[in-house]
Amino acid sequence: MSSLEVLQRAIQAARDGRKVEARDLLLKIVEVDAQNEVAWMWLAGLVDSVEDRIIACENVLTINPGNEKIRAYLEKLQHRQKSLLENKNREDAINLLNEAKTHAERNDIVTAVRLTKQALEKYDNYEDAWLLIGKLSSDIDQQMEAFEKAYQINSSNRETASALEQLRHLKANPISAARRLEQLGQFEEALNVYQEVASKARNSKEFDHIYKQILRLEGLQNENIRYVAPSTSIIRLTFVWPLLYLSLALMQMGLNPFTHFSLYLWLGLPFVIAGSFLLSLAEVRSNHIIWQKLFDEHGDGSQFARLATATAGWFFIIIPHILLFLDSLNRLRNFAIPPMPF
Amino acid sequence: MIPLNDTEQNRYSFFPIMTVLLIIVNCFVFYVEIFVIGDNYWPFFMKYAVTPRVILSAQGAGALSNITAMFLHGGLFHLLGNMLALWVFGRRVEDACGPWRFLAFYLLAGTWAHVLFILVQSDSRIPGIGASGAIFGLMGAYLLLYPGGRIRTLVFVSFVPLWPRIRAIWIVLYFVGIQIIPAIQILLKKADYSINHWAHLGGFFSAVFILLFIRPEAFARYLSDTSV
Repeated sequence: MSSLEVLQRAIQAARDGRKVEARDLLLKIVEVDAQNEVAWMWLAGLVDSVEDRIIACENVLTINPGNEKIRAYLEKLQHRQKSLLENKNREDAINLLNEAKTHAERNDIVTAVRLTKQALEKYDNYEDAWLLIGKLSSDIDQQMEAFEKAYQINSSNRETASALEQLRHLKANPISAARRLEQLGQFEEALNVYQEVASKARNSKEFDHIYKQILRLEGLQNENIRYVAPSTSIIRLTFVWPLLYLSLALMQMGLNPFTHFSLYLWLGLPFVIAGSFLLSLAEVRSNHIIWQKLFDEHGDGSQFARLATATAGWFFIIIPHILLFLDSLNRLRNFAIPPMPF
Repeated sequence: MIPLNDTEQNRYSFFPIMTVLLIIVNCFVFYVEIFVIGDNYWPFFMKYAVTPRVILSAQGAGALSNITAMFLHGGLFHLLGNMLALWVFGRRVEDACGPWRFLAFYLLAGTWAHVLFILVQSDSRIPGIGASGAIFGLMGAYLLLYPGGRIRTLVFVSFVPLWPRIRAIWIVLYFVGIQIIPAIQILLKKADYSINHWAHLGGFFSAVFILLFIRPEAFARYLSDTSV
């Protein structure tokens, strides 16, 4: 049987749906005649994997570079192959990132960072992975790079934009950066930043100020002082004034808030709580969202912002107390003094 | 046994401004009591001191009298004893808290001293006065914050004056200890005392709140078992 007859049989088999038979016959043809363009063309449609189809198309184009139909088909196949590979890499990256998050939750930061970087090697445009790198990294430059990448991928993410803005602020204000590290309990890193800033101090006054911070931090480290999160301090200190107000209000209500119920005394309590919170916020240096929301500032609040917050806090605390004492004075006017019992 | 001074240095601040202010205000109010009010003290005390029956019936100055009572004293020795104790125990508690929170704690301790006094002696028509409830609060707070603190104390051994540095715990235990028997007798209505023992105990127990009032660094030190 001539090769033409075999080719005709193979084509007929392919048209009849007998793909395996057609493929076997075509393979026999190209084994004997590797320059058979028609056989390669038919094979490009009959082999199973995308890779084999691409090889067949490439062979066709080697024999006849002017075959535009096959060139278009090859481009389509290559695109498909690329997206298949991307999908696989994306799946691998998702799995790696999930694993990294588990390690990060267990505070195993080194492994978490390594796995996240592996995920990024697989899939570079992975926003969540860049964000995780940004959060886990203790180096401000690395953090900035990670958040910038995440922002390039998704510029509509407000949190990324805000984090990036904050990092830029910290980079421009290394003392704020050191304070922030201290707030996060990373004393060693904070100390490094202070030392770097001290080495670049412009005058002796600035140096003295930074040196004091270094001594203080070293003291904390030497004495092995436990880290207390700023949020804990804010919550703890928020109790101060409401506790006093509540005690005074109870005295005003004769230690029986049910019999001598006084609505406006109770209404004062939320104000005192709010005031005490603001006062604590102004005192405890923290990277609180309120600085950004109310004052459009990054970091732990400027002196003006903290002063304004403290003033508002005192206002909220003092007004209910004044009303309480005015009520006392009012009651005193109608008070009939009992006679001496002895 | 007369505590004279806390021999340890301040850590956070140079000068105990609020402690000194409280001493000045107490002295000034005592001056007013003696030279302005004079013999007409009964209506003044009924208005501005804490009388359990008046407070429980929600009459009189209520919360205001609770504050003013802390600044009234029954005599010069009452005032001097309290002010000395305020200086000895207040200075470093203020250092750990900062002046405003120290004031808040002082007033809270005084208030809870009055609360216990009112609850135990609810039938009493005798007005309660003095800073001692608040000062017992400071003593309790001092003990919690500085358990190893030492106080220069004047003691007389066979009429010979000595001023050793004694651990604060012994001084505080002594002053709290001498309240217990009279307090039990008052509770059982077997005796009547001119000293407000239950207010002292109330103030002392309110010291548990001190951890809410101290500075963030002092709190971190407290948690780390290091000197506050």
